[in-house]
Amino acid sequence: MSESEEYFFSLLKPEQGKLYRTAWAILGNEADASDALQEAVIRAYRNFGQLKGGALAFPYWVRRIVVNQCSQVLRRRKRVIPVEHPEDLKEEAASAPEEPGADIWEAVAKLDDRHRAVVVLRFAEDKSLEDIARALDIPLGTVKSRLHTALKQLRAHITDNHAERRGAG
Amino acid sequence: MNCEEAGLHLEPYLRGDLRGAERSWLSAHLATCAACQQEALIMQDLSKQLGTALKTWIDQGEMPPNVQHRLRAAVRRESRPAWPRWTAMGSAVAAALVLAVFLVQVGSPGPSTPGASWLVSISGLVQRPAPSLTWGTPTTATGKVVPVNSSSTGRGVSLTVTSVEFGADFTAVDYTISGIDARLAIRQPDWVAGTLTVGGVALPLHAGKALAVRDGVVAVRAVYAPVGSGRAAVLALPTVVTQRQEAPVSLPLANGGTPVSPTGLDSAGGAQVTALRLENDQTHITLLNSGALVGYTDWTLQDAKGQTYAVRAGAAEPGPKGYTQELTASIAGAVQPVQLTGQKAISLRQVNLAVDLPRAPQ
Repeated sequence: MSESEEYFFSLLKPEQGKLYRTAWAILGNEADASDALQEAVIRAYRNFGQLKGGALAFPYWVRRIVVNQCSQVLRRRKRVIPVEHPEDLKEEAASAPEEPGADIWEAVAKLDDRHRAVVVLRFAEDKSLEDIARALDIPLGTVKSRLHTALKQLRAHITDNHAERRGAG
Repeated sequence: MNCEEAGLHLEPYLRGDLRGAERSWLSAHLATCAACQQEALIMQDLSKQLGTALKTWIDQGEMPPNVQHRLRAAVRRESRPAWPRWTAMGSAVAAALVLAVFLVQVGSPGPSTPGASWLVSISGLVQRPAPSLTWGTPTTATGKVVPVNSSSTGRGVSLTVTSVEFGADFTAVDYTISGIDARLAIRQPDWVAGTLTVGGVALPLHAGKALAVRDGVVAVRAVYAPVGSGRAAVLALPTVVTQRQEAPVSLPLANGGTPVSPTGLDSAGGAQVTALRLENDQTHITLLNSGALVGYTDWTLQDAKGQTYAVRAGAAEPGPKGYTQELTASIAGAVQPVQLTGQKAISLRQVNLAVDLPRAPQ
């Protein structure tokens, strides 16, 4: 492995798990997340020389590349007809229930593409509504309505879960 | 502003994203509406929960080893010449060895030209009897052959390693790939090029060759640097599965809003036109997909005189019988009959498969 590859991967390593989950959260499944991550990492490696701010700036810089790549995949998905039986493609939606945050992620993972992406960009990436509209190439009003619908669904799911747990307890 | 509209703007309001008139309206509404005040408290709590939980879940993430291998292999490919040239990168010893192996196994090295792609052209393969897809024991005396029967399957694609030959200077891996369009795969070396890694480090690939295609199964031999005494290697195959099909569909446009009987592209991974209507000089075509693959589509609409029209495709929506997609074309006046020509590039994107190989002999 060349020195530049070594250095690149030494910076990527502490971030890679987070980047993987970010892509997974935005795209909704691990297969697409791996694809997008590969594209993003190649892009980052190609442009590594242009990174200003060195190692300190790397996490934010590479994360932005991954989020942009995932947004691009979502924009492209508009043209895709997923005719495969969806259940065949379904990845394990959630991690082990003990993992902190997994219960909420489980609920988010159940949202469809359009709603999940808005929720993840909004709450995990703290994007403004305008940024989300640009990233997904949809009108601002659509972002608002998707966010509203998604929050209603999540609220119902989380309330149900809490009720179940109380019932079980 | 009523409560419903207020609900739509509550989250951005609480985040401070709402400005101007919208913000003033909502502030005024909240000051007088107890129900929305209660809703705002719930929304605040939900937003906080979501942000914390999602960030925590993401921060705990770990990248699976096969994805790590794949990323490293992809970056490595960026930093060195493309696969067809790798043959030339191997040592003279390895190259001679590979040629000898292929001569013994196939009887002929195939129609590949020196310095050209390592792949045998598909026409060459299908015209002469293909060798057995399970090669059995290679007859070279230079390595120890270990039969293997390990597979990895994902998204309908299988990678099966049939044998590994451990030599002092090389590792030769025989494997088959099934479930992909062999004719397309064989033209795309990256789709059949396995990466052999030991302890997460990819070994240099000296040469590779798709030796046979039969019943949609591609048989490949690839020769890598030696694995090392007692070490275990993993063969990983990030491959892309793509199929293309093109078929014209004749549509009786004259029937206006009446749905046409289903017709169209083939049913295996194909699309059917289920409805057609003419509205304000716009032709709307509804397409139903119920096949077994993921598809990207491109469509054009053609009238009887051969004039073509651009077709705009809407988002695919899941339905009870499959996915539907609305296609729209702008056509002035009545045009009949019309032929819709669809081209589908069905793509499963990347499939990641990995097979553990037996340890190299000590």
